[in-house]
Amino acid sequence: MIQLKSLTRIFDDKPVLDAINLEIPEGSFTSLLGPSGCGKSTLLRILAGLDQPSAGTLLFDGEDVREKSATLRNIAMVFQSYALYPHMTVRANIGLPLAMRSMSRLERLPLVTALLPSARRKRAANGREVERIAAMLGLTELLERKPSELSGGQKQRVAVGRALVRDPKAFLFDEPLSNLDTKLRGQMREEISLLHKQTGKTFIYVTHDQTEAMSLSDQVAVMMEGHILQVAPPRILYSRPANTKVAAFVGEHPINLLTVKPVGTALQSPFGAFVLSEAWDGDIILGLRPENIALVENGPLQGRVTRVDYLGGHTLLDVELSEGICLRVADEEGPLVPAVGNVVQLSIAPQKIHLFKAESGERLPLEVRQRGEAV
Amino acid sequence: MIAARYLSRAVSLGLLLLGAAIILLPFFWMISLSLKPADEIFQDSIQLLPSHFEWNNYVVAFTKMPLWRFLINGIIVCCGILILQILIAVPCAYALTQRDFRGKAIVMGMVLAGLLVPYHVTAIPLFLGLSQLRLLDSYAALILPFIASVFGIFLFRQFFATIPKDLIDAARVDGLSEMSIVWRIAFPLAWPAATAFAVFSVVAHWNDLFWPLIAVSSPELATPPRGILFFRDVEAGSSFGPLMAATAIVTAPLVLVFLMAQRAFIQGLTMTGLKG
Repeated sequence: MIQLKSLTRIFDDKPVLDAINLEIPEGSFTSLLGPSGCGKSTLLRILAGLDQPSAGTLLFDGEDVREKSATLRNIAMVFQSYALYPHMTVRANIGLPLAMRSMSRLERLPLVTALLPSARRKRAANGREVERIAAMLGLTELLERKPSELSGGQKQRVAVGRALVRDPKAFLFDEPLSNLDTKLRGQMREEISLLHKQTGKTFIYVTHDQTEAMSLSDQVAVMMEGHILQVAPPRILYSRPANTKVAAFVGEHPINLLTVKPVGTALQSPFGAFVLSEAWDGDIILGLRPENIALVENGPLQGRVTRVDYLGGHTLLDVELSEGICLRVADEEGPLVPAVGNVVQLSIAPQKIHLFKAESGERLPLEVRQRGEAV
Repeated sequence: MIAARYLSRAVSLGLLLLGAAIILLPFFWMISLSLKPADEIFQDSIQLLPSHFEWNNYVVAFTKMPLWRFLINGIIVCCGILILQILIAVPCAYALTQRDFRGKAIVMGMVLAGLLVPYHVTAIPLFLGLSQLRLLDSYAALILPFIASVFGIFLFRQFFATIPKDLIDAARVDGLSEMSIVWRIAFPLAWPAATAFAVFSVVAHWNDLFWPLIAVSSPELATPPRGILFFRDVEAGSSFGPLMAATAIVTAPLVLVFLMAQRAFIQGLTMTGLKG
């Protein structure tokens, strides 16, 4: 278990990480998701021991590791740029962490390695381990090549192999797939997922790509501007976002947000008239995901299409409601093929509406019903 | 059109040839003199080629003076300087690029300022210092003043600045100490820069006459250029044939080394953005 307690990192008087609290259970797959510059990479570097927190505690299995170097923490890291040593073969790249750990300074000297029996033995054992890992990752044929002779996916595998060979306590991934093309990305995603199941180790994965975070993780920590906004399993993150920022960030298409003022339990909005399960005094932000709005032949809402983006599986529409309010709609390809200028009818599912407090943006724990439905 | 292009090529080629001829002429003259018999050297008329090859000049060069000794001294001094320079400059350059410490900018500024100081300026203080340490007239006197090379620090710094930070971080995570990173990761990557630096350093110190003249007086410590001066005999007059033969021998290793390292040398210069 890795615990972060009010962890803070300040660069030039600006907090890049502001009192981060996070628990990463043993063997879990945890993603740090956020836009670039939100501090997620800094957090990863602190976990790796490459950077020091300005304040707060970092516990590995209850032990404070702030003073420990990356090696002593036994953490492996896969970098976005792969960071393979260009002058070494694949074999040497994967074998270096092993050599650094198992052999003494003396045994590592070039000539001594050939002469000392203990060094020879260790080198042979390391060599076997490297070959085992290489076979596992399908790199056996490439062992004698230099990184410059490898494709992106192969480099990525070597980087993973170099992490794997040390049998670390946890794996850290820093946007490992962002340099790959879409197809390879999907494939590598599967491989990383498989690797997590095979090793059963803690994986901590930094990404700005929510598809990666959602599809791989047991829990996702959404970060923005140095804060963790929500830590939750992917499903909860999508279905019960803790605030408007998470709601806006998670989801394939940006969520529709609209501020309205309820009167008691009655809620009159451009999306229709609703009833709250409890009265609420103050402005409310309604959140409605584009994919929860459907084009229907006969719906309660009507609007004019102002933009159409055809995306293959579905179509993204901007529909201007009569009140001059624009609604984003993600329509599964249905019988209706809308065009710009068409007037369309929409229906929404009230139970899919998210409610947030207007002043803080936090989730409002209330239910919504369509007006007129039975209580 | 085509004629004009040929003409412009012919003109530029001609200019290049002329430039090459001007640069090569002294070398040619040196070799020519080293092969001429003594009476021919002092003829009034200029003759490019010797009437017959006088190989004896080379024999005299090796027998009259301990030329081998001078050459070995040159190798000891140049290698000593180069190895120590690299041992010092590479970790310094690494610290200046990949580490953060207080006063980094000031240290870098001092390195740049150091580049502007000609080493002749420091000759007298160095001489006095070495004399206080009773190190004058020794190999140490020839080597020690040059081991901290600001040029080397600068050149390696330029190169190390291009190494991605991720690579250094990966090495740290993989369990390499900072010194291991310097010698196992950064230095092998900087191989072209190291070659370029080695050529600069060896050429400068092999050819240096100024400092050996000041620092040593014993003939058995003389570096090649200092040794050649011994051919200028005050009483018997100068024996130019053997002198030129010795000069040719002394120049040869440098030319050979440069020809062998040429590609890496040029690569090292272009990759550090230090062109020209």
